[in-house]
Amino acid sequence: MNILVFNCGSSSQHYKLYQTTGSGLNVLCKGKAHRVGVKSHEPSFIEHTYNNEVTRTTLPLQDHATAANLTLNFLEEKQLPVDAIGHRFVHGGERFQQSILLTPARLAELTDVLPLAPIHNPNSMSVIQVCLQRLASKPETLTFDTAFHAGLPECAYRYALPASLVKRFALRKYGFHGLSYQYVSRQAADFLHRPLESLRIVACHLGTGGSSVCAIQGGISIDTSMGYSPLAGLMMSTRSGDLDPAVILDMLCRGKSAAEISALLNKNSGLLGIAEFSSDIRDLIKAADEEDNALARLAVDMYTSRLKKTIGSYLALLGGADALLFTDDIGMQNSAVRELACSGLEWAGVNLDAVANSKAPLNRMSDISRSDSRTRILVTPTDEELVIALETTRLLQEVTYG
Amino acid sequence: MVETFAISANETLFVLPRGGELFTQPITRMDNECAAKLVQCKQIWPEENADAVDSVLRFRQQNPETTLWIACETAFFADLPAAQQAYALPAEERTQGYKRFGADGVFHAWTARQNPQADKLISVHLCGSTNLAAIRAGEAVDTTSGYSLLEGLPGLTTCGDLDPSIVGLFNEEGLSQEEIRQLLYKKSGWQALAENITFSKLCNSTSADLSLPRAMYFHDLIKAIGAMLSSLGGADLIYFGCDDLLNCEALFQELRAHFAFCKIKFQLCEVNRTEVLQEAFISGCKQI
Repeated sequence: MNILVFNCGSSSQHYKLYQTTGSGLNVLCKGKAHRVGVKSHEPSFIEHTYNNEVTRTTLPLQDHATAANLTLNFLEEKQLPVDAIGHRFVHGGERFQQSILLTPARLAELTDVLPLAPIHNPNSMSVIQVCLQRLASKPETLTFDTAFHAGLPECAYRYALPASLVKRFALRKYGFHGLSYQYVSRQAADFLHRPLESLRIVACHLGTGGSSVCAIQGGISIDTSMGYSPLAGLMMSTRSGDLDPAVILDMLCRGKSAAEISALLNKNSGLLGIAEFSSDIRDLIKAADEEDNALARLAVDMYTSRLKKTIGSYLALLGGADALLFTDDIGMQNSAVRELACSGLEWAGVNLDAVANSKAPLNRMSDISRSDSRTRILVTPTDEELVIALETTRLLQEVTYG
Repeated sequence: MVETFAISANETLFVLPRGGELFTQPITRMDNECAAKLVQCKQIWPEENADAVDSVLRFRQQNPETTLWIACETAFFADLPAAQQAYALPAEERTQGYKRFGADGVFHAWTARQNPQADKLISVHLCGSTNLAAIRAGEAVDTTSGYSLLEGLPGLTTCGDLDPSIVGLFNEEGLSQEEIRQLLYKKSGWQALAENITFSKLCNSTSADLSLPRAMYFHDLIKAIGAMLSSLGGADLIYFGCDDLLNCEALFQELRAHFAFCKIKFQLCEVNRTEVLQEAFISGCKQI
């Protein structure tokens, strides 16, 4: 059986086609659409890797449905059949706290949770619609990012708001990037030859669109930087991250509508809002270092300072950590971000090896900490698609065997 | 509450909670220009400033012979580094004055002057609206408070940090701007979690009814200290100031035990607010 997994980020779309075998899952084909629907100096492109051959096409990618159609076209061209599809769905709200097999009734229910993650959930929904049109007879599953954080302690997830409103609007910190945290924390335990249950981990999922940090104790999320929505927490590519609530109230009083504020904070703030010419931290580091661009420098300083403070707050919460993990595109590829984020965390036993950091490989986990560091600093690829594929396999087996 | 301090028979000091970009000096002598700026500050931050501004302007009218001084709580943070001051908003919004101005600067500046030996200092004001400042060589480099008194740790009635999308949600669901203002400033915080809670009860009560707000306070305080430590790259001293040692001793010891792993010096002191204001006046006048 071949399982196609779609993983929609806010500005990217990963896919992998897995073949189930007796011993597990093999990747037959994979790819990624880059800079989907974003404003950037660099062009959008989609790449596919099949039979060790990489095909890269540069073209406008105005939305995630376009990228999904291009992926399905490529698979058809290579005569690779699809038997089931698994989707990442960022925000399941209170209704969806575990993976599901898609049915017409659940599809209708999903409409209700679309607004909870306005720059994520609609992207996944548009790809689901593409699959329903083009692969109508194939089963589809959804795996939710919020599920990993369902067990947060109340002192971490509760907002200091009246209980009546908390209940009425299901207000709580939900947290995101759960599939990634689930995967990388297990990988780190294997790498360190320690049981996951014994580890205190601070994990940073730094994507080209969204980023978050999570404190993980014994494999369980005990706090995370995103909140009720993926807008909260770190400064991101186009998202503001944390903001004084009075600023939003003042914007309302000055005549902006809630929808206008949501668009402003989700799509025109963050790195793009400060630097104005790009939402990509890689562009900004280059402009700050090579062109001495002051706004780019400010954006980089804000991004790394907030990241460092969030890591520090979780190091404090855990009483120090056994491992500090950096993952996803920016976490893996950008040694400058890691260096700036770790600088000043020595008080908690975090000591980066600058040489190892600059040479960290992109395809496997590596240790970039100094030998005297109490915390192992690890750079690691994530594999959210594998988690989704495994969940899809499990759900289909449940349907088949009851 | 309006804070005043009689410096002498014909000189009085008033405390202004939020001065933004209009009051960047710790102490300002009252004149017509100052009075106009106070009115502006009231318009920008009505919840925080209305009582203080109304009070000082009334006092001025009734006591024309008295020299008035304004001590501004946000002035200590006027020179925060740009990366800590700015919100990640587009230029158009940043020019509206949305910046992090900090809070409780009179206390934090006093803490810095009391501890000149600590090059890297974290000042923690344990009170009903707890907030922290990271101070390097006497200058503020970071703080937990922001544009208003809402950002940071929740207070007795203030909401503290919220996902920014929640305020918009309240509006979309039909709450008026005034209802949202009342909700965030007056009906949230620890009192939303436990009725009749006081700061003393928050710190000391073992009642099950208060276990959630107490756990949240401890959780948030640990995170805030960790964030300030990271901004400073460690600290020579974490200084806790409070109104009543008996209120805070147990909490302080619990925090010190939690942070034993990083071997940083902790100190708890009872602070006399009158002495703080007096010292702030003398120090501020020297700067003038």
